[in-house]
Amino acid sequence: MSALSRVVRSGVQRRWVQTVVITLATAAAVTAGLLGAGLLVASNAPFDHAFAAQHGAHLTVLTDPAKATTAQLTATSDTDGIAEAAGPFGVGQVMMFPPMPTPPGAPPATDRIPEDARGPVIRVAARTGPGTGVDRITLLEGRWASKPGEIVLGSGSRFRAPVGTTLTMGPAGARTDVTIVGFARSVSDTADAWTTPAGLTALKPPSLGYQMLYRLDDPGAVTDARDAVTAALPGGAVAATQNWIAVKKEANTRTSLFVPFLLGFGGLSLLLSVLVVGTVVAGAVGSTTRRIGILKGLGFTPAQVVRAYVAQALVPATIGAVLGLVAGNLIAVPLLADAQDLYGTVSLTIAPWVDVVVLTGVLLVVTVTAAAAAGRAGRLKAVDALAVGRTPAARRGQYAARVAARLPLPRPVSMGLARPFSAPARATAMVVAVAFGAASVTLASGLATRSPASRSPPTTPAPTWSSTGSARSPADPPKRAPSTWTRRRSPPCSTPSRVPRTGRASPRPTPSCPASAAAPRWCGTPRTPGGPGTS
Amino acid sequence: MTTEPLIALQHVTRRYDSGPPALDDVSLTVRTGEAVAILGPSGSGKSTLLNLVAGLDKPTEGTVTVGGTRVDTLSEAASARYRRARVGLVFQFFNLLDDLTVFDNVVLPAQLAGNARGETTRRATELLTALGIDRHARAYPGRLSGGERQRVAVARSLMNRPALLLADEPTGALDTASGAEVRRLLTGLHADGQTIVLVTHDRTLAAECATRTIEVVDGRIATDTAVSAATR
Repeated sequence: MSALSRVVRSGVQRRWVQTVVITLATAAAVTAGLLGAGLLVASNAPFDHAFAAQHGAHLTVLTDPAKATTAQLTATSDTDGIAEAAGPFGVGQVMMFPPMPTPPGAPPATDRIPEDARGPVIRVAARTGPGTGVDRITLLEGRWASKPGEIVLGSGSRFRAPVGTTLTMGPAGARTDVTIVGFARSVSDTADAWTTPAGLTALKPPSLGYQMLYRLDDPGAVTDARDAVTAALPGGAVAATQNWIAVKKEANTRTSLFVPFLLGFGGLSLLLSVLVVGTVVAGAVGSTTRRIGILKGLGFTPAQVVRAYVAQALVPATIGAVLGLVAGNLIAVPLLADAQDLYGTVSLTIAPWVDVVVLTGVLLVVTVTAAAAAGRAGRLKAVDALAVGRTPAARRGQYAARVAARLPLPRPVSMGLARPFSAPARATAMVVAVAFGAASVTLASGLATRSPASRSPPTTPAPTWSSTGSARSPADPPKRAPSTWTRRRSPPCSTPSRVPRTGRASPRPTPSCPASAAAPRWCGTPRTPGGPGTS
Repeated sequence: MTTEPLIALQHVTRRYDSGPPALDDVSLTVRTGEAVAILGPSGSGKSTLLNLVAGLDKPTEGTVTVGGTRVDTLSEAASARYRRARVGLVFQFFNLLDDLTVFDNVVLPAQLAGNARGETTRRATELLTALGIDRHARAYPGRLSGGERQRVAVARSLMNRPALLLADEPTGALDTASGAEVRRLLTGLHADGQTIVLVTHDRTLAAECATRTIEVVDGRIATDTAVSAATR
């Protein structure tokens, strides 16, 4: 073992507090860095990947069945700019009521829900299967609906219940029980739920339209394609359109919201790590000045002394980095699972290159920080270092010490108060570290209390519908539904605002619905249920 | 005694900030095989002189040459290599690394010099045995008495067979019995031909070990006296 190795080993072993602090600080930095970078990578174009995998619809057109026949709709697949089409599918707005507990002997839920009750309205599309052309819906759980009374819910809907749960759906006077037979995901956001064409008819939606899904030759030319399709159909047939860019924007809004926070946390953790490692190494140098003098007296060169102190930091830092790597990868799994749940194309593990980059980056930062702090050890003159404890040295902070001595405080306290002024850089680093630590905790606490996912579960088991007279307007704050509501999701398209919905006070306007700033995404005209619906 | 000059200081002055110089125009030669005791009151410049010879400090003016090497012009790294190869240092407060065992402290200079492991172990064992501290080889310095620690420091300083042994108040922190041990040790080393320069207040040490005593007063050499064997 070389002299340097022996000195480093003894320093690491005997200065165990420093070793433990550096290990923990580095582990925390690597963990936070991995989570931040891993989630950032995961949030990089997940929509695009999912959209490509599902052969998503670039353009979705809702038509009025009274003004365009299914044959005319089918013929639009030959329109200029259209590469591929699917549909027409029947689409209706259907009111849905979460399942109610049914005690033994109680009447069915359909009988216990007041006639004038209101529930959330969702878009139900009629499709006989997940499809093989445009918008290949991914069945996540269960099976596809095969008969009336069965429904497949979108995984992005805020409604969650086990497969097999029975819901009540439909307008007052025509409510019917339906069973959830599966959960599916449509990245193109073409519907909130799917059933068979006969099943949609049985739900008696107050409004019904036909939905055509298109893939375009040029995905960027959605306006031209929309105009071409509109022109190919009788006047007024197109009730609403939705393009993939708007859907993507909305989807990315959800993830992009977290990007600055992820970057912020990653940056803060790295900064804290730098400050902690720098402070610890600077403290080690400051408290072992005499040792440095001895080493130099024995013939250690300044570079060797610096290397010794850097290595003393790097040994625990490497251990901490490996621990942080393991912890980061383990913690990332449930977090990435959420992203996977949203898009279905996100890997549940952190990319290996992210591991390498974060590990190398943090160790590099630790090395540079430790080298900067240990640089003083290299610059320290041996004769001065050896004189420590034998001769008084002029130190900074003498004025502060004099002032503190005059304060009406116990002498030990006043001496302690003056101490930071003798090492202002280290004291400043400590203040900054504490400040950033407090900022991190505040930020995290604020996010935790404000994020929808962290809100407390419903305090009352009451269903979300309410009776006439007390029905909430769309602007009312949404009440939490029973434990079934688990995720914020874009609202289902609804007919005009008389139908109250939970979970979202006012739907966003879309470019295709310019007439009403607060209009729902689909601006369909109520029609009698019926019509085609094949996939 | 050989006549080869090992140390040569020419018109050396060392000033610290304002005030009178710690050393003022000192010229001095020490020949190989000599044992020189530098005496003087506190603050007279004895330790400064020793630090200049060790390459731990640089003169403000003048030249310091040791074994043909201009020590005053060496860089920090070159000074370190110079000390490693040619100088053994013994300090008043031992300056052992308390997180290394006695054995590890002793072998450190040899490891730093890149000596072979077997030779290093052999030399360390030989020194520890000769100095009567071999039974403490695996102990940490904190468990030893002052005299034992100083013997460890001497063993460490001799590890690379330095041409020059510099000792700064080697008995200053020791009780009478331990001081006598160290005096015997240094006397024995000089008898074996080791060139020694020691700084001390201890006139007994100077009388027993030194072949020459130099008295420094206010940064200048006041007396430079050869000590006869009969006197010792």
